[in-house]
Amino acid sequence: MTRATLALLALLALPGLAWGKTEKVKETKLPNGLVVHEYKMKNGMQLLLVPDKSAPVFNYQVWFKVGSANEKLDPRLQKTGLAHFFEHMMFRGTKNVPEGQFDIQLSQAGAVGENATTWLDRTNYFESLPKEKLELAFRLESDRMANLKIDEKSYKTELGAVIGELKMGKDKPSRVASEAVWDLAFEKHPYKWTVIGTEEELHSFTVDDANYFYQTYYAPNNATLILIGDFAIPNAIALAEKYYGNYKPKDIPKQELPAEPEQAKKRKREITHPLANANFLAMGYKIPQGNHPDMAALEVIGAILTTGDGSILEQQLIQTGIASHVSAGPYRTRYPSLFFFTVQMAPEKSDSKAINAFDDAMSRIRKGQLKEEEIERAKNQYLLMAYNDLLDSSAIGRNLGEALVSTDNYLNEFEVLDAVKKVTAEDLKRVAATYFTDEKLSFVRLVPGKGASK
Amino acid sequence: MKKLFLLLALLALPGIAEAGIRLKSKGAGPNYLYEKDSKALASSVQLVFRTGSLADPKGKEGLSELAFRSLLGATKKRSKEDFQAAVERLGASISIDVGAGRAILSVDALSDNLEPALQLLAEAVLEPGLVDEDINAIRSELLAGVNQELSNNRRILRRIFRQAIFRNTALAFPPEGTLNGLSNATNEDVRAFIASQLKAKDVIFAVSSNRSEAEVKGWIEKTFANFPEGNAPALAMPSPEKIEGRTVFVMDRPGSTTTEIAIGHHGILANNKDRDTLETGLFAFGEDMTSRLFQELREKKGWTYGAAAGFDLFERPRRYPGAFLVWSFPQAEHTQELVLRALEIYEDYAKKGLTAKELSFAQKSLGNSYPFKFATSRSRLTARLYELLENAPHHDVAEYRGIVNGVTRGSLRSAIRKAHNAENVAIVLVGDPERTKGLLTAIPKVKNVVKITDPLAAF
Repeated sequence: MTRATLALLALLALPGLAWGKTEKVKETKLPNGLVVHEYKMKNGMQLLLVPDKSAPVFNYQVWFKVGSANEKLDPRLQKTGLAHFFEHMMFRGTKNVPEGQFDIQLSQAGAVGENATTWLDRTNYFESLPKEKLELAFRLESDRMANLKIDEKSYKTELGAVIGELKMGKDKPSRVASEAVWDLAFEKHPYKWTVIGTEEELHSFTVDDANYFYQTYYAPNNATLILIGDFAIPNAIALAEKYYGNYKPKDIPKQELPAEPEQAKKRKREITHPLANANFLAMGYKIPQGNHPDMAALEVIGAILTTGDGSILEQQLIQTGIASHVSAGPYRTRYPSLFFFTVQMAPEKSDSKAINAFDDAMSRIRKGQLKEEEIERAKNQYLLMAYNDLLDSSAIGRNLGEALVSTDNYLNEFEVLDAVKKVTAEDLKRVAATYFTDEKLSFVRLVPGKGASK
Repeated sequence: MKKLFLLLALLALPGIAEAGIRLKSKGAGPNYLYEKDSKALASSVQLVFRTGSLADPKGKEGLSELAFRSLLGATKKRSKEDFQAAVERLGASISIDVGAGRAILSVDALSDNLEPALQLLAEAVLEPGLVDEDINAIRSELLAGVNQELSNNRRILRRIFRQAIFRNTALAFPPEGTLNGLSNATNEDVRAFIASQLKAKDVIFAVSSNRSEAEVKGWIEKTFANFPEGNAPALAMPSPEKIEGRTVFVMDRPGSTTTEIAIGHHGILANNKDRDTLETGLFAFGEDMTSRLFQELREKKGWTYGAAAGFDLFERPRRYPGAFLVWSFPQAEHTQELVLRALEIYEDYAKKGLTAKELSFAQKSLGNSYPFKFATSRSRLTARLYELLENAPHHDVAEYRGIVNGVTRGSLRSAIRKAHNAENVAIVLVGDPERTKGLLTAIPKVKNVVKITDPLAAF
């Protein structure tokens, strides 16, 4: 036994530093050769560690399984917008790190890509740092998970920035139309509500609400740390134990989701936007939750329609000047969701050309009329897109995290990749017939015009 | 999303290659840049040409974009549809990126299919069809894209700002061109442009792949063996007129709930000897979320979701004139107070530079984050390309840290005096007229107010 091994064993024996408390769950090799090492801490916090020595840097991500969908169902809140607003407050100050110092310490250490996002089912925080700064990341991130200090003054100031963000979105016709589709498609499910909330809701939140939200949902057993880059696993686990090990798990409320009534017929809405100079069409078809086995076929349908210059709608709508932008694909979320198809029409072009092109394409898929080469093209375009998304550590972390929060399986994206390779014309035919029907459709047509933007 | 501006701060870092990365040229012929990425499952090969919208003749703005995009139509061997299908069935994608002084054709491909994807790229470049039907279709597509800018206040702001500081030069319009320029550029112009600009001595091949360098280089030499010899015509570098005094350019967009704001003037060249010094100053002034501008306008006042300043907000410094701008997009009701405060902050910076504490902070931050320039094969490639194309000096990590740590408050003030001026600026406002009209008389020392009604046309 070497002196180094003895020293390591001695370290393991120390209370509070003993990474023996943290159990290894499994390790999995990713398609690019990197290995995900999964650990579970005693307090329920999940660690996904992906060593990669190709550059002397690392990417640090913390994912909380709480998003805007949880707020509306919370008996105390019953409003939307706080999860996102709260995300902003996480950059303010803690009991140990005074206001402004979080950003200053990270920036001074050379952080890049420091940011956070909130979505329907989750909130995530992330940054990249030089490898020497690993402990700094653990110290700062763990501190704000438990010791945030929210005061009235900074709360009010941050509210201005959040309302600025909300208004920035309102000035974008495409965003307004997409939000209207979610609103139209769902009657009871909280996906109906926008992540950012309304101005009225934002003004109504109090410091007490924010503290309640923090104390209720920010807990080690509701969080996953994803660490990718140049570090040693024993060191990362020792730091996790040191900085997160003393946090107690909490009882995270189990929310009963209201059953979304079956949609019986096509829903339509027309809205105006003062800054639009051409129509914007947004369609949402009801689809299952993110871990459903049909997701691979839905991704391939998205690629058939709009991925690449050779996709059907790029050729029929963009390359003819009828539209200036098209997109199609499923939103993979924790609960049943939407397949979106959007078209930014060119000025004075008829909407019917876009709608007919989409209907014709879907009809060909439903009837099994696609050529094998068209399917092969779409599958390979999807793979190319996915492989390009594995080129840097933050994107790999994002893939693992998004899959985790929407399916409880952080490898789901890689499983979908494998499933995409196996999708057949028959699969596409069945999936198209199942989900792309009028009674699953919510259709929003945004036209230029005066009046409220929503 | 909490912080939009970190990305901008990252972009602000000088783009230079690390020690040990050096260019390899094949005699007088094309340059090859290669970066290995053993983890990659997809490869990228870029063909980079030293041309772009600076080559667009007056009245035909958008010609270079139209011409390069036309390469993705039919080839001499197959129709446009067949060509697109052949590329994409391989799990490949060919894209075009035209700037003012460089145009890039990139092929991204599943690494197993890189060789056949390169053959298709060569077919597009060396045997383009350039048939009327395809060029006309691409023109329609580009016109639709330019028209679409009219629904986006931020795009409108950039258009107006460009013209405001580069009027009467080829930089006054973006590479996407104008409605008139695209319509005036004939199909014959497109064919002539391609024939004159795609020459072997000007092209750079830039590769990022898990396939070996020898393998990829061999494929390139084989597939591009017949690249037309010679040089493309040298680009004329524009000399924009000096900005005198403060001119406000305003475009009314009734119903806007935010106002897009730019305050700026000409920038610097990539090889400006003070560039690292100036960028050290700008990091603390407006490029980072810890900067004065961001802290004052967003963190303390809460008037806006974002505020930033720098050279890179417009376009990274290159071998032709760039721009410096202060940019924000406050809630409409805070437009006036934000513009006046932003001007005050800039005036103060232009006069006094940074405090000792700010300078020290910027030096540490920039020095510590510099290794990220080389963290991925694609970022290394970008740095090397930048060095080669824009005559930007090369620094390794130690050298860069030495330069940045050597900046003093005095050397920064001296550099600022040459590059910054808060008195001679273009101020562009795009927003609801109810929120901007009071401002036109409130801004001190305004020489002229120009009302813009059509941001797509020359003014």
